[in-house]
Amino acid sequence: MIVLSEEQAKALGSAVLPFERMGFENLVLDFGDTLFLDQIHNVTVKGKPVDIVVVPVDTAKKWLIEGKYLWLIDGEGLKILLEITPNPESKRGVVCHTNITGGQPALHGGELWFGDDSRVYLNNKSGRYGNPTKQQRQAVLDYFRSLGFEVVQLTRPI
Amino acid sequence: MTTNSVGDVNIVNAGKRLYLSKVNDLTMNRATVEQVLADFESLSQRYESLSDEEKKQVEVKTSERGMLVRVVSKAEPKSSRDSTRLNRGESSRFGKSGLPPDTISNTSFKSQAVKKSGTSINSYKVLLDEELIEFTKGYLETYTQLWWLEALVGSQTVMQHLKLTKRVDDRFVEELIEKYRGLYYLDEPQEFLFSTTSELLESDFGRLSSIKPIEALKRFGLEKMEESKEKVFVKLQ
Repeated sequence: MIVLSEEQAKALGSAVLPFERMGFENLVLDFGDTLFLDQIHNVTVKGKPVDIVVVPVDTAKKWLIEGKYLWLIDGEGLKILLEITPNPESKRGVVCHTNITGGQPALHGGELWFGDDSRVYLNNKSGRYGNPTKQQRQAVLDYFRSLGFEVVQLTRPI
Repeated sequence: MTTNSVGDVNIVNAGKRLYLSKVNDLTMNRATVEQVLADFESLSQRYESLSDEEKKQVEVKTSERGMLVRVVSKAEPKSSRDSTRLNRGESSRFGKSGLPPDTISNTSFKSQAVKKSGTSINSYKVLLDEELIEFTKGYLETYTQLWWLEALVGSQTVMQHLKLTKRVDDRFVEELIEKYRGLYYLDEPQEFLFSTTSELLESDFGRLSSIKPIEALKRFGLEKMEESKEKVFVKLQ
């Protein structure tokens, strides 16, 4: 199965290590890179998730914690993980993007909400895999659309 | 478990006689654990039947079976129990980072709080990574929030500095923040704190002005700085 076409891969750019795009050294704390395989949903491979938290559009536009998913694109496709998933071993207490990658390189990451209007609201808010260029942000939107989502780009919370 | 291990119990005068005769009975008859515990229950009940004068002479301290043995004096200082609730109530955005100072698990420092005395909870000693550290409240409400600093400058840097200074206070935090590589940024209305800047961020938020990490610390605190690094930017109001 091809998870990324050549064109998509080119538009998304190179995979980066955690915090690499931010110019920081990799400071993943203990258990921040534990893989949460049972909780991660690979949308590219498994299709749109069925059991999802749907929120009012306002919740998404305010970027509230309620129903917030972490999204991540790597060589295996688009993966999502509910941010309030407990990570009791870590000091943060909940999961972070490297709990999706195991600390490995990835293309892009951010947050998303499934709105009650059937649209997906997403931003690029990830210190580990975020901070894209304008072209890369567009490529992310295009990738989501290629998977069948109607997407809305969020740039700042209301 | 043996009858001896039940005890971490010190009973004086009347209580001591009561206890020792009970231990002897149990030892002679090779009592089961259940019997020992049941007898301790009855010991507690028999204590109730003592006169006030006799009760004053009894002091019981227990570590393992406090729920079964009546503790008649020297309860845990109230401040210690209150601080547990307080710190949980003051936890961070996910309600997880404000573990109480007397929590002895769930930290990677292999830490163990040392019992406090008195009523002040602003300063206390704590075992972090096998070092006895003097913790003083300030930028950090509890020592368990030290991970904010670790996330910013690295665990190794924090632990090395800890071993040198043997204290965690505002000076400690500021000394480490001085080691932070990079700058923070603010948008013009100062509504958001950014841990980086880029063309795309400036197109979304307008011009961003840099501030030194130490200034960000003094104005917004460590939690906002950490969240900004974790999420690129954080809302300030």
